[in-house]
Amino acid sequence: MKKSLKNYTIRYITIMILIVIAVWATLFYAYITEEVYDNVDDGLKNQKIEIIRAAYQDESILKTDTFGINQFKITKSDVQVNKDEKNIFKNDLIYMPYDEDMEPYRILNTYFYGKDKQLYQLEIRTSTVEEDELKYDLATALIILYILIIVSIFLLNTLVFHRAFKPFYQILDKLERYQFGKIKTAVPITSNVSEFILLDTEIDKMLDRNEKIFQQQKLFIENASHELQTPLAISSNKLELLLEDEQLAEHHLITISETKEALERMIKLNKALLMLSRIENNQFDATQTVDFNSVIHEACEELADLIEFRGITLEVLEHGKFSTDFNVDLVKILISNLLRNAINYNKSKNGFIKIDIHKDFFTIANSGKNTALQAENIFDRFHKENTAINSNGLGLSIVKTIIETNKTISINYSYLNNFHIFKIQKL
Amino acid sequence: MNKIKTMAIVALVALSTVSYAQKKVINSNQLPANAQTFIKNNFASNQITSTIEEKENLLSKEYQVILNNGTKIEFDKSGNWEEVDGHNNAIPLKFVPKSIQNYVTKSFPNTHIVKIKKSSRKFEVEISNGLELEFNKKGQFTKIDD
Repeated sequence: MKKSLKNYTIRYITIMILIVIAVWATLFYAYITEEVYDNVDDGLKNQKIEIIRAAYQDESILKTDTFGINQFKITKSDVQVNKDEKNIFKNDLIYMPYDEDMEPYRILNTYFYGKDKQLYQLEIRTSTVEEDELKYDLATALIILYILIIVSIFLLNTLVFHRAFKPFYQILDKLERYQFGKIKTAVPITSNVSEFILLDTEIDKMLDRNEKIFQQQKLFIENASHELQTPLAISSNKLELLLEDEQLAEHHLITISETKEALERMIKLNKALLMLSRIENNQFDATQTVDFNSVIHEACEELADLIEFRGITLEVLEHGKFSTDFNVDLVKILISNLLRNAINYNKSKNGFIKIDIHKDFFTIANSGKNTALQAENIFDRFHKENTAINSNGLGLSIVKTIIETNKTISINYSYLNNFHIFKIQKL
Repeated sequence: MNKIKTMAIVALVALSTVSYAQKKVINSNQLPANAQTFIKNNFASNQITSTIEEKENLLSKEYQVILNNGTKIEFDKSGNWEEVDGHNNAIPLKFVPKSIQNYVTKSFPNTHIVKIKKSSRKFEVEISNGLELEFNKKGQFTKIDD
């Protein structure tokens, strides 16, 4: 699963911060408790000095043999005291009536000599911090801190990210909207970030290069097709002349005839390519309001003989007038190509063509092959159905190019009830 | 082979004489002059039970004197006192700086000094209740060493 750039680092940040806080918490806890105990121990040692001093002034103190209000206890001792182990601190749990619970205490165990030269053991105690509670409080505080840090980083990240990457998304948008031959010049983005400006500049340069190459290609095709017309026409004429030569044998005439047929196909193809490139180069710019209904009628009349010859029944239903701004020549070509296709790909006999005209759309439907055509491919250049040998594969491409250059209508193919239906719709 | 053996023995002996502190029992009148004066002034009523000369290394020397009441006195090589240890008994106070004495009397009445140690930087004083006090070289109280 791909994630957005802004979330990419979040995972690593959360883990990293978790580790940092865990380590810090441990050290902090150790540091705090050491400070606390240090302080407590200092207090105990100070008390020891006070008690010893007092014991020398008032010997009755030596008789304090229970932890009463005085929180210290003196007992006679006869152990050998090692100077280094004189003061021993330990933690213990002792019942505290106020809390009605066992509470932690710190106890100092030490020795001193009384005025009577007797060795005494002195125990002093004081209540101390509840380590468990401290751990719990610290953990809670740190979890809250952790959550706050992560949330703020996340929010900050999101905020800053959107601001910072706005030019980047602008560049992406520009690339998305780019189509070959559709933009004249690239519009640069504005940004403070040098990397994005650099990226944008390079992309614009690349787009410009692409456009130039593309324009050159288009021009080349048009020029090539144009140049081809002359030699093709000459060849065709020469072959025509040859066909009229009575001195040639029949098999020679057949060969020449076949050659001429092939040449005719080449001429047609060349004408179609030329047409395509001229359409793409916007040489059919002039538009006017065109009445499609009348163009359709004209086309039907022109092809009436062919339709009858093929045994096709033609039906034209007008439910409304379809008219839009278009180049009139292109409309004629459009309708002609669609109609010719409907005729050529129809059934060999008893075929049917139905034209339905509405105000916002019209359809041309023909009977023919029993399975649907591949909608994605039929408009491709040089795509031919297997049954068509004489077709140059450009008829529908021209139709498509005409529609795409104009941008006010769309075409769509569907197969229903054994009819191949082409629908032209106003956008 | 023999040469190496002899050299090894010589080295060993030399090393052994240098490595440990050499303790030597001496006569009390072999002590430096001011050491003897110190004892005469402060411990006139006591007798010297033993005197030991201790060589720490090639440069420094220490003298240890033990009196008949168990008090131990240490002197440096010039005969200046470094430590007087009464082993839980009170020591004479004539040589103890007055400021130290005053502090002990004021802070811990009814106690006496049982041991005192002197270095170039400080005094360490042990009193009869078991506490250890520290004073700077001028005799001013610095802290209780507990």
